Amino acid sequence: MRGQLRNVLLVAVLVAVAGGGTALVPNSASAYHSYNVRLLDGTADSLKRRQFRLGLFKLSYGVFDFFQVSTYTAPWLLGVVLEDLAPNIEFKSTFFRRGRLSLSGSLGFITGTVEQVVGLDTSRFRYYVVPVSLASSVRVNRMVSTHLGGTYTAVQGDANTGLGSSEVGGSAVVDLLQLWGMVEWRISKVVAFTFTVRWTPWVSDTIVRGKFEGELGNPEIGVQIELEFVDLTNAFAAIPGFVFSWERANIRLGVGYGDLFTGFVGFPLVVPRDFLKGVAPEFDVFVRF
Amino acid sequence: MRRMACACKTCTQCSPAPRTYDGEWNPGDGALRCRIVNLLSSFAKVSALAALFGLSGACGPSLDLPPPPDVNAEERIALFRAPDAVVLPDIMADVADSIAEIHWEVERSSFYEEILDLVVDVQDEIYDENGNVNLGGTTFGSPNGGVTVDYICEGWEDPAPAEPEPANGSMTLTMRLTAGQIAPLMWGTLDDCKYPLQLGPLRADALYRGSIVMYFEEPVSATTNVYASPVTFITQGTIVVDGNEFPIEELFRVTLLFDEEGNRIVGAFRLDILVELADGTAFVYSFDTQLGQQLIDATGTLRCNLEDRECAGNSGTFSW
Repeated sequence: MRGQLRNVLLVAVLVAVAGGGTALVPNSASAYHSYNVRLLDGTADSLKRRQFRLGLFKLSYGVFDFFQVSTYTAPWLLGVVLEDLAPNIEFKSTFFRRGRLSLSGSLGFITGTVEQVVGLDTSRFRYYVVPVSLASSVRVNRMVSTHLGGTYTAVQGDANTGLGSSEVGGSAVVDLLQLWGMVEWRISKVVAFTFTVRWTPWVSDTIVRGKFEGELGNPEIGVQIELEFVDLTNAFAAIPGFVFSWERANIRLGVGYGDLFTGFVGFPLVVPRDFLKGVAPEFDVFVRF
Repeated sequence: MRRMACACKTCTQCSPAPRTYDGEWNPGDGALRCRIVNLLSSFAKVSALAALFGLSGACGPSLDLPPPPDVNAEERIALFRAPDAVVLPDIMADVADSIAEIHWEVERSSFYEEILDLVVDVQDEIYDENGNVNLGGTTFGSPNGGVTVDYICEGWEDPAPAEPEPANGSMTLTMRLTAGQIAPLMWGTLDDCKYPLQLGPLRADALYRGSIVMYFEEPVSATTNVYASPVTFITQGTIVVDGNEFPIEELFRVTLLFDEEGNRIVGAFRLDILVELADGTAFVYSFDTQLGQQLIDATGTLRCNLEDRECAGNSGTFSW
């Protein structure tokens, strides 16, 4: 545990040194971390009309001023790997933007299918993820902004399993609430330091539902099971990081400690910290124009 | 600082443009902009409502099971173990006919065994060979949850129809899973569920509409012999026999009887009827194919005979 924490801190320090060093380098480019060009991820801000944000994990377009539509690349790639379409879309609107305060709401939808063939049996699992978010951003002064938000995510998975001659259908549902807070310190026009804390105060029970049919479909037997899953209540992550912003190119890089919040790749879920041994990364590369 | 002319009343861009440190927000102009702002405003309201709905409704998914009927089941079932009425001849005179009716109805109907068959169907479907709950090949050790059973009733035809016939009425049963076992208390509703009544060589057309509660003495696991377990039924509804309606509110326990080798004795059963009196006390009247009739009250056990209208015990004999 101590070794892991030491590694995390070492990476954080290296990132900090790199970020600080870059901040000291004079840069002649214009309009980076500015009033008009604000951070979009984890904030209440959205693209203006006809602006693009094309990133490794997320592609966004400003349909109207402060109304953007986005899609995440990871679910699409997952769909390619699994040979099944995995469409996803997210709408975000900064519906209030006055003076120092911005407020936004967003709504997303992700679906996809995982298919597994073992011998003669085929299992299909179709998932649906619907995240709804509210966020607020306050520009404290020209250097510092704070961002607070919450995401309620509803997840449902429907499964069909063919077991020899019979077929069993089922579904699983779980909802979770995530809250986050972020401090953004614009060290220069190019470099902004961010410190993000994410927390999952509430995760619902996971309910698995299945249905069996007797001879001639009579009787129909429905089974519901409260799954004793990994308890993700109070999952958290504290992530210091930097956002480097040049004329068009941007890099977001951070590493911290805690559970793995996978919202940045399009799935607003939480993976227990054991998966990455407590390392909570934050990464994206994108261009804005 | 500029001020923009507002093209519509609800346009929110008429306020002064905010100060900037390295650029000025150009709010644009014209009616199109106002429409966009209004559109965003509408979207914002929808988003906010959706989010609030999601956040405030943070009860999340839960078991979707119908609630049990309010029949005070466990307290009343406990009276089987400790009947508290003292039965006098005039009490028997009042209740003897209704006791005989319940016995007559249970003896001639396979309806209650049909319900037990459903419990066995559930056992067969949800448990694997190791006794674990299994859903689609996935094993769950000792889960909590619930089971619902939707069943099309057998009907009046002889033999029962090859295909389920919705016109025969339906039954829904609900069970709770506790630590991988089916909880002793089950409940359900019957919607004009048709079943035959055997009257010697003849059959009568009967149907039941109302609620039913079943109570097993112990949780039902994969290995429980459902037929060998005493089962208490609480019925509350209406029975229709050959077009004649009879309101029914009964509490009785059925125990099918087995021989020494564990084989079921055809037609043999024990029926314990809980007779609840107006003063809140209750006694048990039993019919046992092998032991005959018994009355169990606060004073002890008496041997009785409804046909002869008399009971006899250690303290003497009474008749009505």
